Amino acid sequence: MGTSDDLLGIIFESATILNGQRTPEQRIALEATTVLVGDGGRLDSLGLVSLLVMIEEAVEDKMGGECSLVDTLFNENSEDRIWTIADLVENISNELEAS
Amino acid sequence: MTRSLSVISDFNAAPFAGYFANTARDGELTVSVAPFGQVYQELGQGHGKANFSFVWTRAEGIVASFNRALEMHSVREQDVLAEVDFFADTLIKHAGSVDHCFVSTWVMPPSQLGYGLLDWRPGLGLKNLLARMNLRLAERLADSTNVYLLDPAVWLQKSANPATAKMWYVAKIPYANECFEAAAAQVLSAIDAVNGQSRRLIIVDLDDTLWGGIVGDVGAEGLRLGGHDHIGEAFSGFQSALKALARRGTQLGIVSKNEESRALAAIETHPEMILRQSDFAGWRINWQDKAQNVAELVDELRLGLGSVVFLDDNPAERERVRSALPDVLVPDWPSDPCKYVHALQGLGVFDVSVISDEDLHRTEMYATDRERRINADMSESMGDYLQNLSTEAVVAPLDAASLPRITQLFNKTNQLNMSTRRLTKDEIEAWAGAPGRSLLSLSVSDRFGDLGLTGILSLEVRDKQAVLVDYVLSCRVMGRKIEEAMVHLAVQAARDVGATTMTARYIATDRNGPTLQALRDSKLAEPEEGVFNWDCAKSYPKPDTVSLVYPTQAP
Repeated sequence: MGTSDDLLGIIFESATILNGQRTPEQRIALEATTVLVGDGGRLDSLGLVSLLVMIEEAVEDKMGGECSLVDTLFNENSEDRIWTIADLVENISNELEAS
Repeated sequence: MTRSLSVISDFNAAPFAGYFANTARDGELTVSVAPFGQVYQELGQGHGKANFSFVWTRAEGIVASFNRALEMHSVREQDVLAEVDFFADTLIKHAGSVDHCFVSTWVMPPSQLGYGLLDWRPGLGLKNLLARMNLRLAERLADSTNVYLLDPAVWLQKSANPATAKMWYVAKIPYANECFEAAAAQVLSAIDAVNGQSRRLIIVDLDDTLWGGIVGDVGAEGLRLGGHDHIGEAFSGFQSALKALARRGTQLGIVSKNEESRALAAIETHPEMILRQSDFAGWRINWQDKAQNVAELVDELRLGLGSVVFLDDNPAERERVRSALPDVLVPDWPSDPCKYVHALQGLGVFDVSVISDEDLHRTEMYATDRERRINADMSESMGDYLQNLSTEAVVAPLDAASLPRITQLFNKTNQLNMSTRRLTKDEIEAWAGAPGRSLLSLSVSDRFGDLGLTGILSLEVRDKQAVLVDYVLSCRVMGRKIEEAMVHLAVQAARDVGATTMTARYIATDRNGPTLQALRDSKLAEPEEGVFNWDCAKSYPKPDTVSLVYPTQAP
């Protein structure tokens, strides 16, 4: 099981790859407070899905655990929920602990 | 000038577009992605002139009968190939609406089992069927000179896991990011190639770049090269890769800090050397600044710095050349010689859209050029030198055999190019075939050897007014009165069709200053800046030092 810092590193690596396909204005900042979903978020749906799938794969490769972020996001009922990178770290930690 | 690339695909190609936009030089290329899954509809629409298109499809997404074959239905090969033909015919029509069209071939879907052990069996196996589809596509498109096939297998190799099932199910993206990144790099490289912007000269260092060790310290016999030594073999492999590039037209040069005589002796005498002195178009082996040496060598070979790649194991030398000569491509270079070949082949800057006889013999031409320069140094005067050269130019109209080289010359020549028109083969043929127009080529030789097809002039005559439209001469033959011989030919062609005047209009670029000088030296009248006239009542004298030969018909 990795630490929060490990997870943050994985997310930043995935975000860096995603930023490589985005214009400078569309790129997301590598900070825990960066908003991914909701008001102030810079990601469109394709960008968000791409990022989450990359993170899922990296978590599996580097930590040996499975998480299903895309499914979680699509199953969220509250549409006005805001997801930051820090929220993502917490979500993954919870999923990994539960598995 | 901003140009645009249109991406047409049967899947979501947004990641490709993102990488392409970030890799393309600012402001020069824009990219748009057509809605995916509408390939035939998009191909049927015009995409506007001066655009490129990239058609990236999956076999199972565009050839319905192949998709059925993947589901283990029995399909007839002729039905599959008929669909391939239909796709190819649609591509050919589409290619008429763009300058250049890049088309991916097909690969098996990742993880597809097919018929396992039997998958290459003719009449049954899916891999066999797919290979036939690709061959059929290539054959069908072979005569379309502005359509180029690209192999996606190379892009898929960039990722350990090229297919991400989840991304397909969620977003209809079939491949991993690395694959899209590699595809974007190759399409950009292909665009450079068709625009004549490929790198044409590789300048290499010697010690620890072309061979292992420092020749000045260990002597030729102490170098690590070939033999039963993996490092020695790696250097041999690198030399082989360079030689292979040279065989298809890329030139090689040396810039090295060494004693010239000692280094050249090692090149000529080391039994394991694959590259010999005759493989290099030129060299600067001395103790001077490498950036200065690179600039001088490039000038000697009459190339632009933008045509050059500089390879050196020493990061300080790389940084020096990179900062002093920013147009030269100076890639980071691995410290492990075993990675040299991969690094060279991964540069992706040597693709060309045409390989001419001139390309294949260019190193020999540079060698004879060195002899010419030595001869010039020994001649008492320039007049004597030119007389002694016995220059001959074979003048011929445009034909199918000369069209590829003429296209190449149109698109690569910068310094002596009056209009700098960049045209495709089809555009040249169409232009020259219209009434009132003519296009001549000059193939130059001298007593040292053949210099190849190196000159183009084209003329348009309307109402007895002749306009010299193109006046293009390879820098390889500049300064030997062929410039004046071409004006003579243009005036002669104008007189032959009854024109009263001939006009040439110089269109300035940042690189064709020598053209203006050549036109001014020609003694044509210049009533306004950059516009030159000749009264066709009188002929324009042919320079004595150039013989003109008309093998087929006089202009």
